[in-house]
Amino acid sequence: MKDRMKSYSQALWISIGSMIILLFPLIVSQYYQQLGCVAGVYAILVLGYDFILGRAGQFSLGHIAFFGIGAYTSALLSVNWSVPFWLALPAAALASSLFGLFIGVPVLRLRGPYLAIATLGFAEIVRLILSRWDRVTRGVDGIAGIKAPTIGPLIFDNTVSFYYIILFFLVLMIFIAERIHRGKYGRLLMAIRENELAAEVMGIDTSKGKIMAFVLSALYAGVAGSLYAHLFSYISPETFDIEHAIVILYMLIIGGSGSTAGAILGAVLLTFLPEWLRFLKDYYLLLYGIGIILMMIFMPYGIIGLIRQLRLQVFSNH
Amino acid sequence: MKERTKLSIILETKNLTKYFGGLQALRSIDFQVKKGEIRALIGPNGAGKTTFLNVLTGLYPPSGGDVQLKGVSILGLKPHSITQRGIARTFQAIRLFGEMSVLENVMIAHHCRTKEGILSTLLRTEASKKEEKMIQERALETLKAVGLDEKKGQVAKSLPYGEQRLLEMARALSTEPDLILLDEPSAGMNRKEATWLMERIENIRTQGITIILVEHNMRLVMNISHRVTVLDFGEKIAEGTPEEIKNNSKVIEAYLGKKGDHART
Repeated sequence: MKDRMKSYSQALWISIGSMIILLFPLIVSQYYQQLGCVAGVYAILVLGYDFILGRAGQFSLGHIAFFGIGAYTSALLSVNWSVPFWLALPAAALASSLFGLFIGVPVLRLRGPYLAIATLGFAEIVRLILSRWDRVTRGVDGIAGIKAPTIGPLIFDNTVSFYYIILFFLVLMIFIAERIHRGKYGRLLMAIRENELAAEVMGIDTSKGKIMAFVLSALYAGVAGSLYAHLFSYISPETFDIEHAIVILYMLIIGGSGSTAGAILGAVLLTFLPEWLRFLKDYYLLLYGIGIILMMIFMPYGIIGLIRQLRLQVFSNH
Repeated sequence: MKERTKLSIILETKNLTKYFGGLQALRSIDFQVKKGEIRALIGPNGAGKTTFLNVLTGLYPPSGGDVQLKGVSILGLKPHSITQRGIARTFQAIRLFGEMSVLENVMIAHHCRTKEGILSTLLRTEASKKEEKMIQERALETLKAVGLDEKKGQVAKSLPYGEQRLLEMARALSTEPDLILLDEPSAGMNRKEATWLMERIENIRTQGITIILVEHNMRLVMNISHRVTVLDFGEKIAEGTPEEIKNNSKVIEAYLGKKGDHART
């Protein structure tokens, strides 16, 4: 009986949530439509980050570089060779994954802060190449004129229609992530995070597991990068700098790492929050910083940890 | 006849040596364990027992010598491949997957006996569903055998200490080993728990699994082991039945020190 009530209320919440998400771009201003799109792209990006950082427990700061590689691959294919979006996106995902493999192998032995520094170095190299290799990447000017996706006669060149493309990919990527996390490979990644030595001695190829996590997280970043490029039809290197590497780290940690819902919540919240705090003008960054410190002190497991705690309290009171 | 004795040896080390810088942690150890045996490995603190286990399981590369499992050298193999070939172990300091459930801890150990790839789990093919079900059922059986099945949903770190040790043992057994290395399994257990543990170890042996036991609890060692090997300063100083070891003067010396030798007591 109680279980049934629970599942009813759950179904209710899910349908209300999906309605809001589906109707969102139709009821808000264009500015918020765009924010919604950005939030969706970052949700995919952070969902990928969760593979390496949240699940496998590898403190990589290089995730933003895979985002950049995906965005530039897609953009260059579109602008230089008029490759349609539906081919450019998988190509971007593939390119990012290959770089994930590239970077995953040499940094296997590095742990904790050493891994963080090495991957940050990788991110910095990628950013430098993007901003200095003028002939290919067009340097700091960035790449403009990235073409909108089309399906037959339909052109997805406005924010509302693009919102639904992003939503489609977000749902697809959530589905894939959940299937992996709930199966034996998700368990394998968690075991590496919890105790790498024990995992290895229990017969798990931890090197292979870590490379897998790098490749999967890079694949997600590639998809997100491609969507980002085609959403704005313009990209420049500054979107992929260290500052943004930190922002996506905030998103994952504040949302709740090791959790699909956490990754999405964090990405959405930190996309909208700066806009809501805009009225503070110069004090905005100060308050933003204080807010993050407070959140880390009072909810070390992120928003999702807080929600779980509250639910536990509610259910134990009944 | 010679052929047969060779076959019955499950693990053999020849001239096994390990240096840490200038420190010789293991000095050319020749060591043989027969299939189905319970072998105790004892010695004072710092004798090299855990180092020995770490070399056997591939965590440390030896500086010299050879390790053979069922007549085949396992030198240079990574720990996970050694586990796949049939050696499992527990740790002196508990190393569970703390945030994962008791059931998941055991399920992980079954992975090395499974083969479905990531794509088939992603597409949830029939084979992958069957495999996942098999992993879960076997893990549950293992938990039942050690009496932890009612706690399968709890996170591992929430278990009391004794049960954590038990879970570690269940997890190691789930890799389906031929040989299991137990590193001080009775550490931190009271007398009653230790007695129960002894029965468990006997029980493991009756399943056809060979056991190497590093242990400080002499009651346990003398009661259940068939043979005892004594290490001191990285050297094998004695080997024999528990009775022989009890009366071996070298062993007594190693534990208690020579008369008038205050440095070791």
